[in-house]
Amino acid sequence: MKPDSITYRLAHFLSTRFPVDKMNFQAMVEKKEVPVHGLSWGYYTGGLTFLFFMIQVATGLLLLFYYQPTVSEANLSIDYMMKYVTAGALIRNMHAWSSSCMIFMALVHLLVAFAMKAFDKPREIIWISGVLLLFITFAFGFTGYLLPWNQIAVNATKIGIQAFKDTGQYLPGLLSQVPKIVMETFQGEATVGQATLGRFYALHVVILPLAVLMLVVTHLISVQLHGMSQGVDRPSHKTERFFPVFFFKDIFLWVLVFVALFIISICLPFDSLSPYPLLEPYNAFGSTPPGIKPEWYFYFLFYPLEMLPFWVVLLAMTALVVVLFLTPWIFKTVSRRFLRFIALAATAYLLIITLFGQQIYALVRP
Amino acid sequence: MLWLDHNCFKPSEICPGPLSVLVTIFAILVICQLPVHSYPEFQAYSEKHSGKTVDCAMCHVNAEGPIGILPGQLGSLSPADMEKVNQVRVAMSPGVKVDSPILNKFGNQIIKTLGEQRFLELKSDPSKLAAALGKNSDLDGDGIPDSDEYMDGTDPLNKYSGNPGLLFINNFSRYHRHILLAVVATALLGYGIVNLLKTFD
Amino acid sequence: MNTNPQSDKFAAHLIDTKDRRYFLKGVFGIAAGAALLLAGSIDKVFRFFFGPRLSRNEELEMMQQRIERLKATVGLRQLELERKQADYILIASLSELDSTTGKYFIDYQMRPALAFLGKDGLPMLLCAKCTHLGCTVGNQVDVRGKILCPCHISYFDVTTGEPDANSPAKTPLPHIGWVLMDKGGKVIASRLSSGETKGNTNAGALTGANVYITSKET
Repeated sequence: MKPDSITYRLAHFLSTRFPVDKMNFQAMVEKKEVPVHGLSWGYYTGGLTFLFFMIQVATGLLLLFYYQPTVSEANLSIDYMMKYVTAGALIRNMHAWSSSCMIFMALVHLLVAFAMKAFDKPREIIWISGVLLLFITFAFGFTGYLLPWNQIAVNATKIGIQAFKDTGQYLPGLLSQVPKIVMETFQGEATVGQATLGRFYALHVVILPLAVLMLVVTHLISVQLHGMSQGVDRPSHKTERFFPVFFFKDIFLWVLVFVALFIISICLPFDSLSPYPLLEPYNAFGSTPPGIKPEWYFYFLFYPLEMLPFWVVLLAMTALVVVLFLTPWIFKTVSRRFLRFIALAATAYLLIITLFGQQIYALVRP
Repeated sequence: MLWLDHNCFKPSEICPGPLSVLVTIFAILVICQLPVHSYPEFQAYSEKHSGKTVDCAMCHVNAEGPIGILPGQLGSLSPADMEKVNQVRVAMSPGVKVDSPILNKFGNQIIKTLGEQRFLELKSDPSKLAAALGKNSDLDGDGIPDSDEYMDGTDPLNKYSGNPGLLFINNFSRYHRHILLAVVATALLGYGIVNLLKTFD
Repeated sequence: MNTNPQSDKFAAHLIDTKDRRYFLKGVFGIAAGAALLLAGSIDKVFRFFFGPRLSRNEELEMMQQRIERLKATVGLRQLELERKQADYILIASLSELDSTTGKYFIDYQMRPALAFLGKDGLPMLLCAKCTHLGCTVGNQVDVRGKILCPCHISYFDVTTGEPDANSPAKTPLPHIGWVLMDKGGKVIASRLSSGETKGNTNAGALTGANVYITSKET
């Protein structure tokens, strides 16, 4: 193999990103050290995201025992579980709260990893697998939202699908039909109905979890192979052992977070945060209640769509996706200080649009 | 003549004198023009006061209200069901148990508590409905009185719908043993983990 | 022979009394916590999988609700099927229509709609899905010739479909075209949704006629 041939470069790339010589217990566990510095709390965010994912899998499996994915039974089966099944309401609430927590923690993890420059060579595969995991997490949120088959579920899904279909108007010629064809494939029929529910159920319960499993394994093995990134520009050289110190601290944090989630789930029904007309069973002939909105984690997209021209938001989101995937190369030479600034700016935008999006919209479009 | 004719009172049964008959006929004609089975004033007030979306399902069986042909609406009722609807219209005094097929438990409870006459009087000032209902009734058992749920714009028949803060407090006290158990178990686990860490340090 | 230096170190730790005490406390804490969690949840886990045992009334109520929902789904499918198969759908006979009480029906777009008798003795068909937020509009015409959407109090003129100026709804209820046929299925008269009327609209010719909606305009 010549050193400048594509095959050699690819082999070299993969061997540095997957150093199989480090794939042993000593390197991955016994001798692994975790840097200690001001941003060390960021090392726990990935673990928490994984914790919430495991809670979703466990509660989701339990929900499978009672949920029925048909338009006539979906809403009723959830009602039945909430009213009559022992701990049914707790399981369902836990699933709902944990989904929001998982997406929140995934976003925090992304921002912290970005600020720490944890995408730097040789961790590019970790970053890309992480970005894919984030998109799949959002896909989980979108597909799961439809399953209760209530007013907000069906109408919000219709709006989301319509928004995607509308991208076709900016594509040339025959390509303009592609978004419509893709979304009607997802829908399974001309409008959101039984076929859509069945497909979203299959995606949510089987396809997306399998995809996550594969990516998480890749992501975690890579993290173990490469160890934790240094995190700051001037590391203090103070470290702690991954096992057992960091590991048990992580477990302890998981237990605390689990108990907090348990208390919230048992005391505060997730449904109480929405007006009750939005949670009524979907009625094809009835009115669309006002206040149909996606879940809070889509507000960063929803409110700009309401306030700005569609093409502006489309362009911005496309750019964002491209930048996210190419981050290891775009920000290769950027200092961690500047990366922290970008992460803070992104955090500020997300917080403002999520918490105050409605008020901003009311000012812009009274 | 309007379809509501057969539901309106016959004048001769109410006022024997000629002038009174005319006045009553006029009053009935006016009343019969109104949508006599839905009262959007209460819905509008609840929405305004709570700032939340409220629909007819707070009091009615059908979320679209009583008008139409769907289940729980007037157009779908049998003659026996229409009779039950008419019984509500004559339940002027409080304390009469009614079971209107277009009203849900809360709607029927309002008529039973207030009587149709008082209820109709409150149309001009829906803010007084909560006080008139009192705080004794909590049909869904979530610890929040139905009258408060009317003011908050939440569903008085669903224990998972309510003011989040109040629900949290009520559920916390209801499930405090489970929470205590979980906290003690967590504390023990934490104690165990900390000591294990000290072993390895 | 154990060659793992880490486990040798661990064994060395345990020989030390202080470390042994920490280890035992650690194991005790974790075991007690896990036992407590198990004790608190085991009966709930069992009952979750065992399933609820409903009282007779609860079961009846549940079954009734399921049947209602199934009926609604079947009804929807039947309506969809009919609208895909048939070019004409019967609404009512002309003599059944009233000028002040609308008859509800479902149009070809699966929307609720109303049929009235117009002042000209011809049918007047309006979409009854409120143009504000889609509530079903009421079927009673008041003295002003308006029908009311009770959800957010929008009044619509029954003849033109136009909303009142101060209504939340801003666009009119669309008209729906109709076809009048005699008992033999022969078309007597028709009106497009635009209002263009064709055929013989004399009162005598319309005796015994039936009102249909047609897919041909859509």
